[in-house]
Amino acid sequence: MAGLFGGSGAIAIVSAPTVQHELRQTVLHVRTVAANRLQRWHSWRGWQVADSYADAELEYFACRNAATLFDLCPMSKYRLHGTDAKAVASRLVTRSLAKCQPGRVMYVALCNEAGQLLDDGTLFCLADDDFRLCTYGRHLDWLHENTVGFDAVATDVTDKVAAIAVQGPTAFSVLQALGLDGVDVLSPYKLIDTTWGDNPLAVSRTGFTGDLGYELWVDPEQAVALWDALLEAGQPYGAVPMGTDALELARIEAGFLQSGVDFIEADHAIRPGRTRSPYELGLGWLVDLSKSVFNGRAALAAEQAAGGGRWTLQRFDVEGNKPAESAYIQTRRGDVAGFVTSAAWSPVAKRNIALAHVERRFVGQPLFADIYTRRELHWTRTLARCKPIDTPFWNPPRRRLTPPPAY
Amino acid sequence: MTTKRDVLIVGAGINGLAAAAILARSGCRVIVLEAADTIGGAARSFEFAPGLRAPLAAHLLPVVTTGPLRQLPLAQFGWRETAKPVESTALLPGRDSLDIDTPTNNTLDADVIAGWQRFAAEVDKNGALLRHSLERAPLTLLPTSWTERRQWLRTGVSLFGHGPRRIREVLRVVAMSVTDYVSEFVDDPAIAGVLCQEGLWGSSFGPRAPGTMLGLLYRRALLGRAGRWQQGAGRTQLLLNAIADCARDGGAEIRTAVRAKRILVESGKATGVELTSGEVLRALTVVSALDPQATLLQLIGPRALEAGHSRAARQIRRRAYCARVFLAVSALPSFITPDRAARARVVIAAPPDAIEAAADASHDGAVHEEVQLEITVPSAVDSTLAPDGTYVLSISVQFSPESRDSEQALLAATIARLAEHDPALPAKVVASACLSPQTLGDELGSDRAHWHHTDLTMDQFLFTRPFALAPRYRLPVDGLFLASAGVHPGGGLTGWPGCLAAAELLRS
Repeated sequence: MAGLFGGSGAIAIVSAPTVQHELRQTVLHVRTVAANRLQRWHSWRGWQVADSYADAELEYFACRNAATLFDLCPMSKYRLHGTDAKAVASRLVTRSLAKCQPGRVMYVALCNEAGQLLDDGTLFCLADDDFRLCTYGRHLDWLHENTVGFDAVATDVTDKVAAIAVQGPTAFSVLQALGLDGVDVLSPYKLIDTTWGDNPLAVSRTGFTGDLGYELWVDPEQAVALWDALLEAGQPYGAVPMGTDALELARIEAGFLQSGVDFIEADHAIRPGRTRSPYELGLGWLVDLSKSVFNGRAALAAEQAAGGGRWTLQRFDVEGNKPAESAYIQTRRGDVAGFVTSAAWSPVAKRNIALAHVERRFVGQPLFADIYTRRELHWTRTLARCKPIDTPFWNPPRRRLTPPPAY
Repeated sequence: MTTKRDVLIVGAGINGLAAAAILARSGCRVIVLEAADTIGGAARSFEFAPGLRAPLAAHLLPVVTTGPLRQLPLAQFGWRETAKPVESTALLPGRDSLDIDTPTNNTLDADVIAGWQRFAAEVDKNGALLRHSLERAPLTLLPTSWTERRQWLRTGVSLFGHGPRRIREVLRVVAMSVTDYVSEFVDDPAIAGVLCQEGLWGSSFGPRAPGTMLGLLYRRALLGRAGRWQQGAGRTQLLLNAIADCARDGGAEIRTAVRAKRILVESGKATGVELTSGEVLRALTVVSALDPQATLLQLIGPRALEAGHSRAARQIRRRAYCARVFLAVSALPSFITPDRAARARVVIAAPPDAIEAAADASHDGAVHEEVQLEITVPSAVDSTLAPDGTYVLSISVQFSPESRDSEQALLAATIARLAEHDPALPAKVVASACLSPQTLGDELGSDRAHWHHTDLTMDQFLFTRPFALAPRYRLPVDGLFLASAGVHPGGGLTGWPGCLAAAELLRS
């Protein structure tokens, strides 16, 4: 990870004193840099990723109406391997892994010993003794701590596995056009090993858009060819590369949490009270207190017994059309009840949506978002009523259908 | 066979026994499990050669009528607090020996004596300020209950009784190195070395390490107003027997020669102990009187702990650089006269620079020629330790490597160091043994024996002892308490950690 002085230590400081954060480029960079007409990039934990290639709105609508390709290589991928791999994974995550069999993918939460969320992610069961954990953040050190005393090894395979997300209603048709076997019987949160030409390729029905979608896992040497083939096969289906700006809107509509935006990784927080437990983020369903030991168990059991933590995560339908980004959530009396972490106008839901942290004691009261907007230098302030929504803003049936509809 | 008890205590050292006595007298059904054949832990008598015995690790005893142990009616069980304190002298090469207890007894320049007296008075006052906190369970960093707030208030009142100037002074001093502090009073390197070393017994840091003053103040606070140690031989056994009898009188059962194999944890709660014999004993609460790492990483094991707790346990700093050497000699060394042998505590310490070099060497696993020695003659107190005509020298050797591989070299270095002051001594030796911290650990259920179980440093002190995730004697497993030198306040054969842990257990 890029430190205060960047690079990998003292030598880097001497040889490149002016470079603070040299971003790493993924194997797909040769293609993404060519496609990125805006040349707008940002850092995903040290990797150079595109904000948007040409027009974020078009990319978003491609995701909701056609198909998009997303360079998922910067996603942290860790391999847990060894006879105790499942035991390590079981202690690592809050969820029960009783039903975790080879070919299954699970959405999981990682907590520290205080029951505070370190990250969420997906756990891929490749074999009984071989797991892959994919997270937004970097957790190799924590995984090493977790393997002590177990016959298992944790390694960072971020560089060794390239990944491309194919998301959108025509994603299934794109993969069929590519000639992949077995995708028609692949149900959500499942993983299959298939072949693309002569090359092994793993496909999982997972994604971050809340729609029909797949993630393709491939040898980095094949990644560029696969990207080209996907674009070619997907051309009749409207497949285009998508940047993070469009993905951000899609994931807010799906109600997914973004590390660093909707929660802070517990080991990054310095100030007390800034971290959150799974219960406080609506992830209580991921916690199985009947497991005999897992990280955070004692603290989470105590928290649940005390009512489930101070905070809650609320999905709001906000009155009006001004995105409630970073707005305070207030009660009618003007008490601060919380704050919005993610907000956007959702084109597909036709609603002004927001994810917000709200103190549990204010839940149930009429709540308002205190929205500041600036138009031509002048600020306007709007108090917009927030209506709690229990379900994701976007959750189409095709997301769950097997086989999914073809186009 | 399964028997259900209220409290299972692993380890019958002074802290395990003290906890047993307090719990049993409060009505708990208590059983104490001790791996060795006799009670006493680090203070028990050890046969280092056929027919020759000496205190295993702890050969000195602080005054016990003060501090938490006084809540036990030990006098009813044969304990008499009547012994005279030891007389500490330091041997200097080519000079008269020093009386460490009373500077004015030495023939030194007046300004040297004056500086030394000021040093002693300051250390007394600074140590006294610490004493209040050492006799009580540590404060809770963020108090939530009124009991905890009251404790803050009491501590505050006690501290301010010493005056703001003294509080400031302790805060200035406590993070200093002993060398820096001693140099404010004494210039003579030989004397400074002796004064520094008095704070370094059982420490894993050399005299230049910041924070070593805490060790000196801790020791001073421990000894209380009397300021002196008692001879451990005989006396310690009397005390341990009194505590054990006091516990048995309350209904506690003490079983020796039974080794705990593991502490059973079910759904995050300690439920009992499995012995190496296969026998399983169940209890509502388990108290470990072993060091925190042995308890968490060996008896429970990292797999049954949450990863954060396993990491915290592994990150405890507890390097041990104090070995034990036992010498059986046909005649007393020339520097110990027969009439004073029973009360003798002889220190051989090098100047601060040489102590620092010895500490560095021990960090690297090497034996330095100028090791620091603390010598007592237990056989002069307890005649059962050796046959007539033979004397046993019990020697703590500070800044020795941890490894058992170093024992022969360390024994040779120790005898050579003694020979500097009595050239005839090597010829008088009839039997000898050297126990490195690792070998001592074998005897004490740990990978290495440490005076305080974990380094007594600012970051492992008060509410962060043994680590911040295990406050107030509770280990991060439900129903598991720690009552050993590894918890607040620390080691030194006080029984205080055991008493305070038991009180905390009773409160929960």
